Amino acid sequence: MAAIRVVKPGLLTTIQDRGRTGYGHLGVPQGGALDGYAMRWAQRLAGCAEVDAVLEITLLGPTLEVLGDTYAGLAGADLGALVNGEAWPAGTGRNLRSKDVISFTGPKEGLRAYLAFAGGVSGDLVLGSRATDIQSRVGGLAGRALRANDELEVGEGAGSPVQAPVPTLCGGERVRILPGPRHDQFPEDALPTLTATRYRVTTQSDRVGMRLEGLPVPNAAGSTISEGVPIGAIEIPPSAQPIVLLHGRGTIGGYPVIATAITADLPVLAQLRPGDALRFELVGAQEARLALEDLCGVFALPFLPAIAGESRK
Amino acid sequence: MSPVRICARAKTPWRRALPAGDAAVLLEFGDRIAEDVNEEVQRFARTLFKAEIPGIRGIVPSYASLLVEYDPFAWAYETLLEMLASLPLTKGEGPQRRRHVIPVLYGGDAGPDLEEAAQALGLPPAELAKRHADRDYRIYCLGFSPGFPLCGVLPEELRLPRRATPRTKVPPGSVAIAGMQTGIYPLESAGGWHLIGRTPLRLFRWDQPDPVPFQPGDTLRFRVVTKEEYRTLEERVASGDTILETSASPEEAAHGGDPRR
Repeated sequence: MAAIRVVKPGLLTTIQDRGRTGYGHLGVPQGGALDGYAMRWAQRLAGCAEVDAVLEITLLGPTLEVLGDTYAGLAGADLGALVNGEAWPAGTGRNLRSKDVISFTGPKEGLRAYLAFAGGVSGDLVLGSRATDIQSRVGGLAGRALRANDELEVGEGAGSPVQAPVPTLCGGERVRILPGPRHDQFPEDALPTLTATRYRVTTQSDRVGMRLEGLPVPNAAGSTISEGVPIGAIEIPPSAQPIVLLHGRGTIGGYPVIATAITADLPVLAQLRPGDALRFELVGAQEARLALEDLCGVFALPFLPAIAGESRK
Repeated sequence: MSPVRICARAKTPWRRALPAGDAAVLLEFGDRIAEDVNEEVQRFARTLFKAEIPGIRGIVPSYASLLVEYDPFAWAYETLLEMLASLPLTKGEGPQRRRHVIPVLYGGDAGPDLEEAAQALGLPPAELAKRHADRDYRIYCLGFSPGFPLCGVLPEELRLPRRATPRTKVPPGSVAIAGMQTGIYPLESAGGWHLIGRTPLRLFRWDQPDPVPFQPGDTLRFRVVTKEEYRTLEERVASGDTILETSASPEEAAHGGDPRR
């Protein structure tokens, strides 16, 4: 067994996986990695199974010391990863030797990076998932973000360095949406308003949802009864400023849902930082379907051969 | 443009099916908070659980609708709806309905909003507590946060809009009111309801296969306790006692009547 020791925790580094499914009727949020695409690439690059837990690294990365030889994959945002001071590009998998130090110089592109290790990262298994739920303080490591001196078990591993055949970061500012379940309760100009101009991501954004700032969206008429809200739901609260719900969202919400982000663009949302702009584009069900097939189709592509630059001891 | 596809077939258990993105559908059974509508929602939820359909990730029944979250690689929207409509509805009332008595210390640190709420409602605080405790509530659904029982309906004279500014931290066990609803925050969370009291009971246990001691359709009743009794109960909970007073409530199951009576 190898291990990872946290030297510095970074801004918000948590253990995540695909989340808790099947407990929605009890009000348990799904949670899990916000960018499932980047997580899957990290897992694949590290040779992990889809159910294995990984580290979700937010904006300012941690400093980690490797104890024992292992193999790891890095994907998603470019947060300036280094191994022993040499660049470790996102979208690659590599050997790590005992005493290697992983650090991050600072964000270059995107918000969330995913770091997977052979055999997965240890974590508390709660209702079928190791995902950290910070709100409820369960899963992962004692339900909290990593702290200095934490130690996580990972599997041992070794292999050739590999590179993903496509970018593992879904960048850009375009977020495609479908009309939401309650769009017909809004005035006719509400959806056109939402798609007319850019919205800015505010600092009041977290794993539960992103509060946006921009052109006010005319509110729905009448009152709504609280109802189940999907991941990606765009709610319009009385403030008329949209909220986009992410994987950490509570199961039942009280604000009417005007639109929902398509599944294929959830990774785009997960990579937008506070201050970034985004643009909603209304699409149809067919385009949502094709976008998802395109996004997941790349997992059928083989790795590219080793890239230069990995130091070998 | 009419992107909402209304399921117009005569014999669906739901009234309307509303696409909720490309991986979920919201089945609407009615447009009001009422026992008969909620019974239909819960019946269909039981039907879905029993069917154990692969590719269904989440089933979220609420007051008058049910959200079905699905794997878009397993199901196309139309196929899913056809399959759902073809499921034989579960017969009967479902599991035995139960009545749970929740001991509550009202006001003070346990219920920091009691005085303000009472003032807004034009009632003495003790009277608000008494009227809140003096009736049965139906659990309509569990949600918003883990194990939160959304209960109703409050009598007219106890209804208040939510707090203008939600709290970022509501202590676990807080008993709260908002609009027609009352409920309990089983875990610490954010929340915009008025906190009128607190129960020492632990109502969500992550380490249990059944984390929540009650289910939709059950009845909750709050019981006013003194500080002394609260402390005693708190100690018993800390020592691992399960002190939820639960009984069968056959009259509730058979009656299906108006909780406002």
